[in-house]
Amino acid sequence: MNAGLTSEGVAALAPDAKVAAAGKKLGAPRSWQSLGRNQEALWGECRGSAVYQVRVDLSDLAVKCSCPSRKQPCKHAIGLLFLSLGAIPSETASPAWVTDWLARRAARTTAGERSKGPDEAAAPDLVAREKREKKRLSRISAGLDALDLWMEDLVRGGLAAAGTQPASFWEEQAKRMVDAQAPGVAERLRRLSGVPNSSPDWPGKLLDGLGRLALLSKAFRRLDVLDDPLAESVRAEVGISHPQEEVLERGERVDDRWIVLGQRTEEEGRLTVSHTWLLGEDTRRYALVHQFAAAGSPFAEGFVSATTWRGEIAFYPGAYPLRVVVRSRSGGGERSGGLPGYETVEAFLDHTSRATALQPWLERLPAALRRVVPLLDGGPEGGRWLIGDRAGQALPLAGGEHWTLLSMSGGRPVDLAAEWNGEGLIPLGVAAAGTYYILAEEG
Amino acid sequence: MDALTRAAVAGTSRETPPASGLPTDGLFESAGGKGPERDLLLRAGTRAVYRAAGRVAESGIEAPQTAPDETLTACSAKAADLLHRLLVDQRTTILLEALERLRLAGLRLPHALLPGALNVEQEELRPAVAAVLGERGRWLARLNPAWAWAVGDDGDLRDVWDEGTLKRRTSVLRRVRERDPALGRGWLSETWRQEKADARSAMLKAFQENLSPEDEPFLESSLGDRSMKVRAVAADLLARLPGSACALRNVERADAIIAGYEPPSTGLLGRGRPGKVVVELPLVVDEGWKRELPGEASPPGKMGEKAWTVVRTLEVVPPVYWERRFGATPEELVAAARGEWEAVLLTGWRRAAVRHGQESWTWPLWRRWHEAPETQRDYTSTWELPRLLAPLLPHVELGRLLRSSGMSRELAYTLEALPGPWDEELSLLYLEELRKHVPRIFARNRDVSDPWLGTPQPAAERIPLSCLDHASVTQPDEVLSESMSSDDQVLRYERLPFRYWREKLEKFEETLELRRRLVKEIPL
Repeated sequence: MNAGLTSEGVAALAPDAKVAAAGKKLGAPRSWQSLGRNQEALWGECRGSAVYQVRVDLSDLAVKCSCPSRKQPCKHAIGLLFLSLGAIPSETASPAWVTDWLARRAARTTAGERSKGPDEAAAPDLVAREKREKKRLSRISAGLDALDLWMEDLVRGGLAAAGTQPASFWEEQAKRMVDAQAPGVAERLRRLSGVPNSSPDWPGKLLDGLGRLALLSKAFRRLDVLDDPLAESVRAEVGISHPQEEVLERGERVDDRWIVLGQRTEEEGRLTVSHTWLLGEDTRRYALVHQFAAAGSPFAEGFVSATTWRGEIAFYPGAYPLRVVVRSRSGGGERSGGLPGYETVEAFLDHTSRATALQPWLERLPAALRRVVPLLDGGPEGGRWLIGDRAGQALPLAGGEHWTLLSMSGGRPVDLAAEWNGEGLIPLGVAAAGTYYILAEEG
Repeated sequence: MDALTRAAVAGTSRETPPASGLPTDGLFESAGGKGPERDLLLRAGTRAVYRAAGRVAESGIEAPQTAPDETLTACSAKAADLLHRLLVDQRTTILLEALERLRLAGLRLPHALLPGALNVEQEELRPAVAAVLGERGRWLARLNPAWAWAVGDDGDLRDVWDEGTLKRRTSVLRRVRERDPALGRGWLSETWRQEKADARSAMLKAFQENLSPEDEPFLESSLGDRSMKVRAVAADLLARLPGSACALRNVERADAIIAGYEPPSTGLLGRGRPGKVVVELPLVVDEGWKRELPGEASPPGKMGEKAWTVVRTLEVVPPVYWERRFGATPEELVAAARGEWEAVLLTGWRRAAVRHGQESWTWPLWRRWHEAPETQRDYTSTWELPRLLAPLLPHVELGRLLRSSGMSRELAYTLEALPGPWDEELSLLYLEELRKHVPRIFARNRDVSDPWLGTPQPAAERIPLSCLDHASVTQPDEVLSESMSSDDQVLRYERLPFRYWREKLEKFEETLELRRRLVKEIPL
């Protein structure tokens, strides 16, 4: 069976507590009229108000159920996983409804290699693609021209005036960038709209953000003179991404035991976006799995925080590649022991310098820092939270209060996984006393 | 604000942007000629990147003292999961049980749960949390003043008393009273005249801790306080001192109100007469009397002012006083409260029985209400009375009543208010009756006011652990499917009582399961 799966892990895969509870209830053999598994998959027919066919791909825990539930994975799938923890069905031949599904999934992942479906004819496709690409680049350029003028107007009139603008002022400009096919730029504008009046030094932060945007716009017009990796990063920052199949096929591949450091899920309109941070035990590479799903639908890959799995990932190209797709996964289990990471704050800062020099638009950088102590400078009310290393060097923590982290440490060194946002570390998890523990943001 | 940002804030139309003075300024000279706005933006961008890449660490920040080593073992990861859920869902009753069990098992909370546990708001949980904090929890609590309650930090009680907020000063005063009541009284009398009325009444309440006759002079003088709230607290405390002059004055007043008791007579030929308590209302109630009574000054509900004075006066007198004076049992006296002043008498005695914790009175008083609740309606709501009496009611008697007379609305409210753990006999009787009741809900059509409905949840939380394993109740649909055709089933499913019950029993079972898991994961 899926080695590392625990009942907590199964519950964590459920979209909410209600489904987890309902699933748990269905995890009793009497709710099932047929059950089976083989090397690849687990399946069963669940008796509800109708009989539903449930299947689980054991390689990545992807699920499919014939029920009409909008919540995914549904309670039947969670129920089947719960059931499998206790009573492992014996290996049998899979029925057609399982085999077909597995075949369809396999076809999808290797789509790039085998068949491109209807728009197969390679040569004309390449020409058309080049034409489309050219058209898109010129649209983006035109959009960025307009953005440059807009930003120049902004600083001509003064940022003090920008601070009094309603959210729609930024949103309109962001929409124009979406229309110009530069969603990455639109995303930056949306983030900037939250800066005015958010802190005492907001004008400085707003200017920084606008400045970086101006740099990005300038860099985009010089794609032809930039190194390939940096050009790739600039394209990605603007919002031109490679199709996943291409990355699977041609991206840099790294095989390792990957630690799931933590994940964040955000609602963006009708989309749910998830960011999952991974850290390779041997390569010490950090990786970010970025997934999108229609609200309520499942993500293609399910990850359980604080577990590890063996597998191969493929990096999207860039000057400081972080984003990846998973090529293969197997096994999985609880994470124990400390984290591989930077031994000192100094070493971590050297690393951020190098990363920033390679890719100046990096906004969030993952980091694992070894043997650091959380500090509370100036008492709990209005005090600052930091972490300090053995050399007495410290960096601020971001994102509210950090009592859980402090409690886990007890004033002793712990290994911390965090996201560096340029101003502070946002904790993802902490390894203390041999256990890796996920930290949620506190008030 | 630096010069570059200042220029951007003012606008380049007013202020010419200066050079930032960083090496990055030179990067764009070659690309110049596009206007000062463009220059400013590009310079700001390169400066931002330059600064991000050149970020340096801070130093010289004091590290906290390390926490002492734990002497207790943490509970298992599964127990921690359960506790985490109970904390998040604020399931006070079960959480209290779990924390208590943790203490008995000699375990402590795992470190990850400490902030959540220290943040509990409910006072009744705090002692239980404090007992399982372990060394790490106490260490952590000392770092946050909001958690001072958990460590009983004595070092600077006087400082907090002198400078703290009202809430913290009051809790400090309570702590001082626990150890040295005279010292607490001394502290309060020093500042008494400068405190505002709200502060005076809040702090005076702290005298509940270790209340003794030595507090009487202070309380007696507070009866003359300007503030009505302070007077009420003083009167309440004096009423708890049976020997105080104030209490004795009230006994004297009560003595005049209950003028006599005529025992029942058997009479010839069965023409007996029931007993009767003779009530004589006072003609005048002066201010001095009123201010020496505990409780709100204005009467609740439809009660008249004079009746309210009588109720509060009776409340101060321990009911056992009447047993001695009239040589009668509580049952006899309660039965003899009849006539025009019946409700006034019973209300006063109920409050007295609760105030003085006299269980021999609460059961006859409760039965009297249960038999004829409507006669009491003007004086107490159906909700309030069971809540008042519940902590002092005999569980077994309630169970037997349930078996013999079924579930009345009054009994249901009382069970909902009955604190746990329930007596085992009551629990078994309740479960048996509940199992009999569930199949009956199909006989009900539109009627959804089933008094049973509110009781499964409190029962699931409060029956003793020994009853958990045989507590489950079959869901109504399972009862149904054995006895009916499917068409009939669908029809019945749609009925409201059915749906309510299904939900209630799901919750019931979930709660039982949670407690069973607690027993399993926190073994003693």
